[in-house]
Amino acid sequence: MTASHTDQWTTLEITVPHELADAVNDFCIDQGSGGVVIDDSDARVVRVTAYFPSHRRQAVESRLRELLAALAETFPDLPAAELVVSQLPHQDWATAWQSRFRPIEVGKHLMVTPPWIEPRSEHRTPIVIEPAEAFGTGTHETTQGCLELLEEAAEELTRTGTRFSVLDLGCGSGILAIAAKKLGAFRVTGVDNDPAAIRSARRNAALNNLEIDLDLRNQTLTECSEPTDLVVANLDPLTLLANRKLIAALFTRFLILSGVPLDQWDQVKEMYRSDRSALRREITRSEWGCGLFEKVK
Amino acid sequence: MAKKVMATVKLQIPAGEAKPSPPVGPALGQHGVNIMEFCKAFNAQTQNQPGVIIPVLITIYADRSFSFVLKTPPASYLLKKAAGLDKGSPEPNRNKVGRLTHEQIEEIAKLKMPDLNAKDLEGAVRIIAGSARSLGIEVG
Repeated sequence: MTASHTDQWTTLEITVPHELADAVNDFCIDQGSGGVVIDDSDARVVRVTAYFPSHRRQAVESRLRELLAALAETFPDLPAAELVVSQLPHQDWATAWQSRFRPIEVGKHLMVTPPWIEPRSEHRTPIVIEPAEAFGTGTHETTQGCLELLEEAAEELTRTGTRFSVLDLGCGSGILAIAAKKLGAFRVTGVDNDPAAIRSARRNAALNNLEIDLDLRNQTLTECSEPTDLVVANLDPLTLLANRKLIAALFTRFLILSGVPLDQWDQVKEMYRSDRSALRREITRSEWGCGLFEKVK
Repeated sequence: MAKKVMATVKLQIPAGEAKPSPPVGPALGQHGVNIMEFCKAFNAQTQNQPGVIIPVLITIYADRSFSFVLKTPPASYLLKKAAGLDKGSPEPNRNKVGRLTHEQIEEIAKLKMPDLNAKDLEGAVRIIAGSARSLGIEVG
């Protein structure tokens, strides 16, 4: 029986002083644990968790107790190690996490869905996002607020017959850039300073058959200079406040700001309000503020 | 993006060998993280270091997306390498298998300092010297 085909796992939780953690980690991995979980948040002790197929429990546990006894003898001044043994039923961990993601209806016409679920709604435009290594799976209030305001701005531009371009600052998973394209933008650019985000955004663009339609760039905010009809910035208050001039100069029709905790929302909102930029709509939901600004002619 | 951290998880995994089975499965699964994506990304970044145990810190955000950073190799790896050993002693109290100088210990402590829960170099040296003794490596 190999480790991956066991029905039952034995969990060994070993709490030791920092000096002894390495010997315990080494032992567990040597004995065939596929790695260890380390909790070293306590300055005095480290908790090491290792897993073994349950049929190996006796052999591993008795060798571990021998090692702990030898360590106690070598370090008589250090506190003794503690060992907690428990059982863990096998699960299909590769797919079990997927149950946390369901299609989410956002705004009037959008639906964010993971790639393993076929969206059923006939009235909503699906945005397929693989939850992975970049922010923007669609479950967060800041992302949802942006999607709603993006939909409103795109509707207004489409209603008035305006061809519009979109710039997504800090595009993460690419969710907002993909939505912008599906909402009718003729040109969409997504930028992020994290290469992992751009990789993730490219994969999501492909899941939506938009790989050639989106311009995704690994660059910083200060490298953006092209004026765009609609700019969306789901960032954080510090970045938004520090780069107000730059961001305000980038949009020619609409600007969406998000990622701001409610206690800082008023400050951000007032900084961006000016005689050339009016707040058209704001969404304050749970702990987050999000706003749609319109250029005043 | 508006990242709000929900949890952090610290693991040590053999390079290129992350799998959805434990420890990765239960450690990340409880937070609803895409386990295969993590395994693929970790293995891609570590495949050129076969045999090395890699400490990795995974940050999980409020929308269950994640990021991770690879840390310096475990002190045990650096100590065994410096002492020319494959394995530590199973009986560190009786059976000594190697010897390192104070300078070598301090060098490793400096390298590991950013990833140790130690206030100063002296504290880091104490932890590394302890790690050496726990592997059956004498110091001095």
